[in-house]
Amino acid sequence: MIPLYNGFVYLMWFVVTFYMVFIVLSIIVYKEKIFAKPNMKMDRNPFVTLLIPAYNEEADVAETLKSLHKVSYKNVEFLFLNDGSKDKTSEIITKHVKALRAKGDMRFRFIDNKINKGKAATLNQGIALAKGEYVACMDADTVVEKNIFQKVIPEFHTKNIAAVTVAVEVSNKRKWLNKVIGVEFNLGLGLLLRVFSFSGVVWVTPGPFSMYRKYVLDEIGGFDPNSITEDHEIAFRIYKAGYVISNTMNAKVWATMPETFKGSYIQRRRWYSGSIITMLQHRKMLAKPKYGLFSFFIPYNMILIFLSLIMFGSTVGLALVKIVKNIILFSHTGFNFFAHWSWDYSLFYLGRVNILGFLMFAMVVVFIAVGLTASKVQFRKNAFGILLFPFFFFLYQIYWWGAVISTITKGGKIKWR
Amino acid sequence: MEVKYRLLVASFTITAILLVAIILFGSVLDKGRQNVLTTEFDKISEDFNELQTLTFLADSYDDELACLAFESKLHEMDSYLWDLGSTLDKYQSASEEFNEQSYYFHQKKLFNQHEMTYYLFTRNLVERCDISKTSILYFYKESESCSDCDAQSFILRDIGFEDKDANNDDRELAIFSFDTDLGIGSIDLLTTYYEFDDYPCLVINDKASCGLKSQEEIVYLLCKENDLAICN
Repeated sequence: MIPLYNGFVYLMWFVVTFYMVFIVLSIIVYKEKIFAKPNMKMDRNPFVTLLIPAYNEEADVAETLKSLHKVSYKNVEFLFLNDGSKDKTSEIITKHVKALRAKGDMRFRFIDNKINKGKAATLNQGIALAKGEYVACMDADTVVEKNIFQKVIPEFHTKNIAAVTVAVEVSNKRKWLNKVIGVEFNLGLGLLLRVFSFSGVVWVTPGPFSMYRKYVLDEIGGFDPNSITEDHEIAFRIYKAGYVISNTMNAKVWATMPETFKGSYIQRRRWYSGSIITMLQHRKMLAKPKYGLFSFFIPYNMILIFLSLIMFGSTVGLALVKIVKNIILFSHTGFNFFAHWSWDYSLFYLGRVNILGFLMFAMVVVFIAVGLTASKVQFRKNAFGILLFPFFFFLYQIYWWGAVISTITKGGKIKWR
Repeated sequence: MEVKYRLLVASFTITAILLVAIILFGSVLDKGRQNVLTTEFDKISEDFNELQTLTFLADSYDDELACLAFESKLHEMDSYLWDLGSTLDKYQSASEEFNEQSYYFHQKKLFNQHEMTYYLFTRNLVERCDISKTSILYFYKESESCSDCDAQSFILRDIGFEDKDANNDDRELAIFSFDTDLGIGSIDLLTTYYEFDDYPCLVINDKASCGLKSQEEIVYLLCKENDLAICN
């Protein structure tokens, strides 16, 4: 068992370190560009359709409506699409849309579907109805900044950019879990997407807010109604059609995240299970130079995740065996754990595997530190989330194990919430 | 070459350099460990030579003169061998990566042989010089073929600490552990002599006792015939 475990440590170390070094180097090389604005002026105001599908969003949709009313861009339509909600979502949207239109804000429209078709199908309905040159998609529990369109539209500065994603923040950071997830979003859905976008690798167009060229959506047939992670799946077809996805850190949205571990687990299980299913669905695209680094990144990332699952599982297993063994040993001496304890340490007690482990940990810390600095996350404001962030790796393992087991046992039939 | 590909090449190169550096650093540590062990074993050999000389001295002159020197030498070697045994285990687990290493097998053999020599010196001198030293001989096998050996080692280690604490480092007990899997002739002879049928086995006051013994049982066996500090 130990030699096998050590072999894993070497392999894992190389895969992780290569990944971390690539990210850190990319941050250093592109540091001037991370918050740079495109060299393009808004000389026209293209018409945009913003689609907001809503399913049982009675708690948050009113805030979303209010934030959209404040949006300063005028050449836009906000198309709310009820997806057969069983709660008061429909009534709330109807009331607010009526009131806002009465105030003269004619940008709001509402399609009240009584049957639940799923998010992707509802978005496709919206795409078919959209009049905009650009179509933006947004979750009904997300709040946007008022000049978001002025920031995102210039990002479509070349014809091959099919979609632009934005930085996603967590709006409800009352509980510790969401403080940690807030940091994960800063790094994962903010900085990493931005840095990877320079290498042509944006693997997701996040549901909270992403904007697309309408003709590209028409060309690729919109969202896949059978996918449980439609925002990840569409990225594959965008690259397949020869386009790229860009990202901007200058535009921000605030998404509501589940506040309980159970809610978070169900959400992540769907995300991660969806990523496995989507990768298998598009397996013919993998490791094909014609699709650029994206086609190599996806399987590499999956290998990294699976290796970390195996290593985490085996480390926990070995540690548990050792703990149980020691408890049994100490039971022979009356559990005198500290009776003869002394600090005895030497550099010579370190094996290569220990050094690899320490270095791997150090690389992760360097990545977090460089990442947080580069993404201009305020330490004081986010201290709790940052300090607890290492704990997220444990949660991540639990989420992923859940996703793997669900994928094997349930296939694509995974609950949304 | 595009920037992204240059970044990939640079990342791969840095990672590979780091890996090679770690492997080399590991080799430096391996070499360092071996140097430490060589120095330690050399020192033990020197001590044995000195003990040998003291034995000749006692034979040629009288016991009183030699016993004075013997006593302080034995005290010094007690803790020395104890520490070396645990260092050897730690070094072995730090060096062990993908397979058993013949170097440590050889060192373990050497250590067991030294323990046997030291035991025989102690046995001889205790009688000759009337030194207060009680020996425990502990015979074990690899843990795969002896499920209780780890527990027995742990209990003995604890008794060793109790003895050390009770006597302000001036140990009354000398615990000798012998690995019966190493094929050392003298160890094999003792196992035949004491007729062991099971492992772990202890020899206390020249009486063999096999099977896992609790701390209380060992203390009872020790205190039956010796007045030791740990008996109180």
